[in-house]
Amino acid sequence: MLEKTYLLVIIPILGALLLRLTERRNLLLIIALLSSLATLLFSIFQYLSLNRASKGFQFVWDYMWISSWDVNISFGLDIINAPFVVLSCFITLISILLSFKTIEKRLSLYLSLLLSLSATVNAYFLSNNLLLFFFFYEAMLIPSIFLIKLWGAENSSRASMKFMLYTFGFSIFLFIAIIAVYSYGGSFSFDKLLNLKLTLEGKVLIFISFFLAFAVKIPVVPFHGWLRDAYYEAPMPVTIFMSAILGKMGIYGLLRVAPAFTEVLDRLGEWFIAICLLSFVYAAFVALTEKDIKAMLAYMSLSHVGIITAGVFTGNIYGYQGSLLQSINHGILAAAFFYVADLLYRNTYSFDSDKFGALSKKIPAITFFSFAYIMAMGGFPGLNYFNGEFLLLSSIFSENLLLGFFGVLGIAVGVIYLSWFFYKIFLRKPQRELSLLVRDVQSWELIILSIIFALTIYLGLNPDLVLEGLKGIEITGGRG
Amino acid sequence: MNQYITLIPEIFLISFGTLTFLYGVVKRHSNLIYLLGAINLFFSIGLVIAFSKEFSGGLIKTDIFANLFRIIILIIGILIIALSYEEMKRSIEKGAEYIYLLTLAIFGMNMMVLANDILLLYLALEAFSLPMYILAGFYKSDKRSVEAGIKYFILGTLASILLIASMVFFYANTGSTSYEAFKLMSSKSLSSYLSLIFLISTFAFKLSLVPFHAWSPDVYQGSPTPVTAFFSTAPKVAVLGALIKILLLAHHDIKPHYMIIALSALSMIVGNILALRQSDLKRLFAYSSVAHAGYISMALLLKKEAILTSALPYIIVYVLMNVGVFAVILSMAEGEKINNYKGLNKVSPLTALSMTVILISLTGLPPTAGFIVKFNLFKNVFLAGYEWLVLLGLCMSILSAFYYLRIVFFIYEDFSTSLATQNKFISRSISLFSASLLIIAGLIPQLIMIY
Repeated sequence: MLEKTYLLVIIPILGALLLRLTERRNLLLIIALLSSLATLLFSIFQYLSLNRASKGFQFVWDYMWISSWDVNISFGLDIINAPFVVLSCFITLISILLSFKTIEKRLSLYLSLLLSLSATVNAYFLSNNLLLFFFFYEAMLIPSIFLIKLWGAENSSRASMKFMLYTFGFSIFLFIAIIAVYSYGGSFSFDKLLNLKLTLEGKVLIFISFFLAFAVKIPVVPFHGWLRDAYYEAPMPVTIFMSAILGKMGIYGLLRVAPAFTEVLDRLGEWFIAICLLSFVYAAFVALTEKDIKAMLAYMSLSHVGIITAGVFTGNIYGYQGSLLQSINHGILAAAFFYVADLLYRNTYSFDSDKFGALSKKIPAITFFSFAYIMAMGGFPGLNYFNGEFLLLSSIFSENLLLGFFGVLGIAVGVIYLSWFFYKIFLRKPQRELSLLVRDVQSWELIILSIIFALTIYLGLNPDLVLEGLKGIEITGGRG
Repeated sequence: MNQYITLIPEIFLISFGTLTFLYGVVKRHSNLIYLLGAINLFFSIGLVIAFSKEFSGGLIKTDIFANLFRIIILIIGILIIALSYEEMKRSIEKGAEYIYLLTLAIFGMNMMVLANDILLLYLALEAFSLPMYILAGFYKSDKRSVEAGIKYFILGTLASILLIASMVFFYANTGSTSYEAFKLMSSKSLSSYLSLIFLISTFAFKLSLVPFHAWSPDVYQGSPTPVTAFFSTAPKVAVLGALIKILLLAHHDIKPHYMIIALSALSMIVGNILALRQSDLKRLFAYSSVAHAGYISMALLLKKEAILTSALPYIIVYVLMNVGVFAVILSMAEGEKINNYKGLNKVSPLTALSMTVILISLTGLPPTAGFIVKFNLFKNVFLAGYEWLVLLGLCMSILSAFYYLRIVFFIYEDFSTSLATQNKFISRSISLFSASLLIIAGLIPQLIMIY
């Protein structure tokens, strides 16, 4: 059973196909929930039975794909991609639950696209070779552009075209990097990355190519042009999925290739970190100026992935661990924030923060959870973000004092805009009368919010759930 | 005597075609003629398979790849006849002439693939060009169609002249007209160089590579749509078949590399950029096929076998995509107007889906076959050391995403203007067929990676 890793891809696809057969809302609910729940349970099952001491991929499923290139369809888990797979399954479930609330038209097509997006993303994380990796890197574009275009707000055409052109455009660099690895290593397998016989210049070029391809996906600041439009125009469940998972695809890619380029990181790591921290601080300031809740959250997401990406480039084990841990934490919390934003949206049908005010009495539950998530995001000890932030900052400080300072600055600004946001919505006197229809969360949504909260506490107290065994891998060439 | 055995399919094709024509002339207004035309091609495929033995002698030479090209051309013929049936049966009465001209063109193309002698190459080129001039201008009452015919004729003659020039230099250099002499061609002499340059110019004209592409947008737009579908696929397969055959024989060094690079690069740039602003789909796909010809001609830079392994899958997938696209265009009323695609999904979800798949494949995105073959082609060219050309190709295929996906976005608009779809069963099934093949081949690339 454990070996059947392909189930993580096949179940959502089957679900997606089944969904197209019916238009009845209840039936759709059952199918979508069943398939996403099954995937989630299976991924957790695999995650818990992963042997954390051993190197290399486990539970590998192989299928000869293109014999003349010697390429298999090969899916497998190791301790780096397993957390991402579980996260992706979890977020899919949340997005689907939210979709039933928010999506009115063409639900069947919508859910089936969402499930196929989830399938391609899972397949991307599970891929054991570079060609498959590239295949799914591009394949996830198709469902996502449709999801943005068809269910998005007014400007969704432009947003999805922008997203498409950015990601597809920068995939050139992934192509070049992969072909370069193929021509010097003779195969598409990930192992070949680790013993490339190349000069430093060659490695630098390949690594920069990889970086560009992933940087646009994460995104890191000079490459973030698509982000605001795409996050803002997409329907909320898709925004949740994008911010929580699609960004992580880039980070996962970097985590996967970085160990092969330790020399490059030794030499140039600080420059990459500088770019990422620039992204971190810049996006934090932009978020500070945004009045619109969803846009603010989009920039918050952009800001935090900056420092997470920086961790990869420190070249020491703390940064590496911090990136992995924080990716998961950020995925959970970004989803939570966007979820709360959607709950707020239902009261005013607007994301304009000026239209809210003094909601703490009317909707205590949402207020509580928002506060808890803000605490977590702000790095409150005992909650999940603290651990990751600690690891990341310590790794950056050990690399360069000045960069560390910028890291701290970004975090400080982050706390400011989050509390400002909390103040404006829940505490401040409203600028104008709110409608009386303000409602608090309903029971099952309360459960979702509580589960996320419980997760933040659990991961805060027990980061080893994600990190265990990662010490054993020889990643560093570094000074950590 | 052996060569006649190899030629049995072509002999059958032409004689049965003539009989069909006579029948059609006697019994006008009979739609049976289309069926007979298709049956003719169908049997020819059977005969190609039956007499597929490798043979070399006289003016012809055949091997497994030549046979494959013949079969592809015949299959295209069948698809085109099926597409024409719905389009033509009401609007014109000259069904017999139409089918006969198609059959003659296909005959010429098959001969072109079979040719092992530059004289036969010339004859075959003329044999398929002449019917196609007439086919382009088949709607006599439509000014644009006549214009397309004349334009194609005049520029086509130029291509023939170029081929004659090539033959002259070839003969002057080698003293022979057989392809085998390509092996002996020396790289130093001017005449051999000129010969190859003129030869490739001729082929570039038929492939509509820039700067020999000027005819294609007008001809594509003016011709009857099934003929456009034919133009964009069959001649290119035939020409590439012949060209690859020659390049496999010729020594790698004597290829005019810079010329091929220039042709390919210019085609990719001009084709994709000019396609961006088109609102007429036939014109758009004229430019798009210029661009795709540019991609394919990159493969000509490679050595020996690598040409086949890179170009052949691409050609097969290209044919599928283009036939599929034109099937969709035919299945709609005024399908060449891009605005008519708004909201197509509401009216006919299956056609919308197949068009989407085909367009995604043209863009080169997974999980369609377009991705696999493009990856394969670019990978091989990249590894052969033409990094910049590949980089250009990649950039240009990103540009192409813009105009292909614009159509996809139109298809899924909420409000619909394209209420006037026609109940064309055959065209729709062909588009669905090609879309599903594209998906299948994208997921199981073994099917098209014929080595």
